[in-house]
Amino acid sequence: MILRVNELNAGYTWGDNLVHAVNDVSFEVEKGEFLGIAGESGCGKSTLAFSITGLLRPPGHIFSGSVFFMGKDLANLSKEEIRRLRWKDFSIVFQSSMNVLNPVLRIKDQIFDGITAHVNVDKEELLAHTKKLFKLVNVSSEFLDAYPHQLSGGMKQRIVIASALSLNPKLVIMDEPTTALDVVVQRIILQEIDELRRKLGFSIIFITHDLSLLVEISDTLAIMYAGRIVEKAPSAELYAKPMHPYTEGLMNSFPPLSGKRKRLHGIPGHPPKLSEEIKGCPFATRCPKKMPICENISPPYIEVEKGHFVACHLYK
Amino acid sequence: MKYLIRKIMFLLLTIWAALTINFILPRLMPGNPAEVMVAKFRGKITPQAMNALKIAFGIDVHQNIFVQYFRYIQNTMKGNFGISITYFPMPVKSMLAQSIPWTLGLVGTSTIIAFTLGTLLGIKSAWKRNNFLADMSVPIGLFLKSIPYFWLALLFLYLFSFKLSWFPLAGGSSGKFIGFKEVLDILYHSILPAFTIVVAASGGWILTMRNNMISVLSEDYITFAAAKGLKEKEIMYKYGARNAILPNMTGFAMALGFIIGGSLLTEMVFSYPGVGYILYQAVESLDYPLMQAIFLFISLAVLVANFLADVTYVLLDPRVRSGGKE
Repeated sequence: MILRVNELNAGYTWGDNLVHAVNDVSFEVEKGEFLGIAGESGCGKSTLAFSITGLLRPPGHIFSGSVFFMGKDLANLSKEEIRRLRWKDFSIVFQSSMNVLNPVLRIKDQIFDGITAHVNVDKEELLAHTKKLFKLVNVSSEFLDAYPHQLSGGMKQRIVIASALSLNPKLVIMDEPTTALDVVVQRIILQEIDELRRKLGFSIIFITHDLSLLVEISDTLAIMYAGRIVEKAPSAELYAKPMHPYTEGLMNSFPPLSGKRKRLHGIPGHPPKLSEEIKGCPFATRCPKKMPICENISPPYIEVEKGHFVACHLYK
Repeated sequence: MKYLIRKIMFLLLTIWAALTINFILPRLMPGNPAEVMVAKFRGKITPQAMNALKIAFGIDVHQNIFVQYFRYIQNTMKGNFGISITYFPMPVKSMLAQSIPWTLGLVGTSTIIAFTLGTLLGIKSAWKRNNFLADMSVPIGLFLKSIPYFWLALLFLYLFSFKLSWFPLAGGSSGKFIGFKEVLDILYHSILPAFTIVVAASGGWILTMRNNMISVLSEDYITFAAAKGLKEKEIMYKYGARNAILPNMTGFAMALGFIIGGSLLTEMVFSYPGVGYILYQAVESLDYPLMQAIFLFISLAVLVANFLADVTYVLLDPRVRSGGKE
């Protein structure tokens, strides 16, 4: 097992305000696994990614819970020990790769410094390795000397992915890495990522608001709603048999790959505000299968079938 | 390269404009320096002497204005700025040659020290935000920035020179020494004035650098640098300060440009023999040739400093290099 997240609670506080963005989230990632986490915008996905990697900055805080990376509790490590883990053992690709490159440094220097911060290599080796990385993500190595403003969005994205893979990490967390790109490029990059995973054997946590993007590629899918994971199952099973009414709603919001044409349905209503305390099931106000119990008691997150977890009162 | 050529052309054009305005302005004013001289001699001057004076000052009213203009340009190129009235019969050229080194030494050095110090403190205080000491830099910076300079300088002079006698009361040197001892003497005389400039000027740099740095630190590339596991120092300087300093370069260049004008107040309070001090005296005694030359030098220095800022900008920011285009 690469990663275990245990009842993690995180969010933002300033003054008397509190936003509970990640609520009792637990999951595990196996070696080589592709875990997709999907949910609407503002449901706490990015906060989850930042909490796991220890990059959450004030006013963000981890309230409780723990993150075990290869058996080590990250909360018990010193700043320097975590710094040494970064990039080498786990790396992260951000939502806005457009702005993650330093505008005044050459591309190659920004890849080099991530490498030399962790291992000692000479210049030639560094260059050869970076060229290999560029080939991996299909970017011509003539862009090594370029500055970020000279590259297109897709190229920047690929370069950031190349950088994230530069030290062969065991886990790569991707927080909506393709959101800013068009559908065609999105798909190509996603397939490239998956190929690289098969070749290099790292695990991926892929976070997106676009469930349709993940269904085919990921091994496991987790659905997030209002800061909680409401359902998690192997992708094929989740696609074939969504249990949580929210998952069902999501599945109905994009067209199936095959079969007859159907009218698509969105989910009426809005997700609850994470800045207010939620009583009962957070989906209750929008749920078509609501029962009286849903309004008062938050459903437990339980394993209903083997490997299929769900938090809903419909399943006991 | 194209950018550089464009900037050089622009520099030459503005220099020409400055020269021309400098020529026109005094001619728009009533009276002329020779008449001032006459007043100074209380009328005890012959018409012949008066005429000689006019020629010496380069104001020959009987000449065509264009001829005057070309002669002015010619003289300026040769560094011939006429004769000072206050320090008659010293040529303006030697007045400037005497005072510029003092000013460059004192104001130049302390401006650079103030910028470096203020920038470093600004970086640190932004990086260590929410730490009490770091956050105190804001009220302290504001206090230093808004305190009237002459008052601060007078206070320091009173305290350290008059009361405690740690430093000399006035002047750039005591003139009693030669060789290495003279250098030490000059340094000794410059410590207190330099200190007041540094104290007063660094406050502004602290504030602006802290502001720039704080907004840069919230950029995604800073978080990404942290995610890469870079060392703190590297993130702070290579990723943070490297970007945060860009907007300050123009301000710094302007400050460098104004060095040549001297720090009027500093040089007055400490009776320092720099450009500011003679400018003050030139204004007091309506010494047009001297004023004109000093103003010309100030505008040239500002223009050149601006040009250098543009060039440095190109070196520091690759986005400017391509002029916004690919």
